[in-house]
Amino acid sequence: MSVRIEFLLVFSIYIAIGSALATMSRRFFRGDIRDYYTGGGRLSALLAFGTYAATTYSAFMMVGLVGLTYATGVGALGFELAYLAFTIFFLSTIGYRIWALSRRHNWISPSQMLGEIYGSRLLESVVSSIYLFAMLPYLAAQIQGLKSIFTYGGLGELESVVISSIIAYVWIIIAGLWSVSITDTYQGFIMLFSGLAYLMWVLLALVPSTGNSLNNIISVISESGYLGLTKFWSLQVFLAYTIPWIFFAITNPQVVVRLYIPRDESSYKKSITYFFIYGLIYTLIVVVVGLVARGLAEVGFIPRNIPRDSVTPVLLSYMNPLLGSIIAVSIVAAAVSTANSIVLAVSGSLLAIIKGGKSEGLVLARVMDAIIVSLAAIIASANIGYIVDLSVLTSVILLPLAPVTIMGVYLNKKPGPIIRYSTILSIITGVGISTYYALVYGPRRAFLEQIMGLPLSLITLISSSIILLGGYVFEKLYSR
Amino acid sequence: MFGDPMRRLQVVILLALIAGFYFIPYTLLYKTRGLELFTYWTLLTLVTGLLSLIVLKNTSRGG
Repeated sequence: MSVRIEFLLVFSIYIAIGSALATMSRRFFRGDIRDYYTGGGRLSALLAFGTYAATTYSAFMMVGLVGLTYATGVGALGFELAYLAFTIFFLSTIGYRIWALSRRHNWISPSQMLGEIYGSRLLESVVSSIYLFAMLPYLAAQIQGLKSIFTYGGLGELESVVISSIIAYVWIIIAGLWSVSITDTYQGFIMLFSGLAYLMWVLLALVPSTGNSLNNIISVISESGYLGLTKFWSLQVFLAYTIPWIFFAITNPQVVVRLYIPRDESSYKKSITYFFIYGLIYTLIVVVVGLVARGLAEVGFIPRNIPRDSVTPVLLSYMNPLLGSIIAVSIVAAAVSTANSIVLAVSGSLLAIIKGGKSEGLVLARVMDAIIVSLAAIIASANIGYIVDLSVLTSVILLPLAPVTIMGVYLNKKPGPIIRYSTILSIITGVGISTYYALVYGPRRAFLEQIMGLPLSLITLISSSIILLGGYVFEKLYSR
Repeated sequence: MFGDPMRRLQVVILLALIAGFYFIPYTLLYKTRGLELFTYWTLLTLVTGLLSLIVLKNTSRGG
């Protein structure tokens, strides 16, 4: 396929504006490690919200979730909105507490936060290692997911991996979190407005062009059962999808670290409100597009069995090339904004261990960022499974961090050795269980596998919580 | 923060409500085929999100 000129044009404008913003952000950057990883906790509500939204919502939304809704119906909306509701709940309660504590402790990484709260360097090292282990596939999935989008623009797989890795890396190293947050905010708005354009095009251009009315399409989706709970969304499957995601805000390092960045209480609270509005609108846009795509499949306009991750690329092929290119670039933006935040979070957790809180080390930070991006690019080239399942399995592996984080943040005093060791045992057990099943069944099957009638994610969460609670109870008894 | 037992109870109740209400379709709306599920989950998210934001608004570092 030849290179699409419209795509190259839109993509070049996107890179030029993003790079200009990243360069401009250097004026805010003070040049120390804390500023590099957290912006020194000096970000406005707009930037804190923008970087949170763009980091959270990846290419999964426009590619994976559109496809999941097309394939399985409205259950996908329940799963994604459950994530949003729980995230807002956690950000309004424990998230606020984490933000307040971070003002006192000047953390640069969530692993450092857990290590300090529990007074355990070993815990910090274990958590950092798990971040590296769990986040690399997630990062690779971001890069891998772009292959089909770059194919739309007429570029090959190698160009796709190389270009997306370079953009992600360059926008990090210019000014750390400052360049990332400003480009994230820019990309967040691209994502939202392109999503709206995508929806408008589907409803006002694509549907009428097929000779159907919207009412007709809704009737068809309804009659085919996709507006109800399809066979796919059994209670166990709904739990399997939902549980890892509802704890996303307190387990995934790239979003936890964003709780440290608002400059004051008002900025924190406003940023959460903006994120809620953004998340609700963006989710509804994506799910409606997926449902209409299912309707178009039911009336025979597009095939009924398109692979999930190919639904958006198929729809793009019907679009005016300029609009299609804008949507395609918005998907690149979603992936890049998530990818560079992951790189920064993982490198911050590793650097916190190596430097032990010292403020110098920018060169080392940039070298580590380069290594992480390169590793992810290599993994992406190896072609691993569905974006949806990869992303969700990462959150399953990180699930044991949820009870440890919740307990740690609300502890009133430094815990004793029993609690300290139980946190490590709890995390290792949870990660061990999820990794074992991932190895035995493969990530996709493990994710939906029922163990004693329960999904893997619930087993992981319960096992970790019991061990942690046991440690807490033992320490209470022992300290008497 | 959340030192007040009543406030802690309030937060736990909110969490239980959010969790419970997301699974209601598996009992009450299992057979629906129209826009009911779509509307239910959207409105539920709107309500629970606003409740969480009210909790956040009334939270302060000292309180």
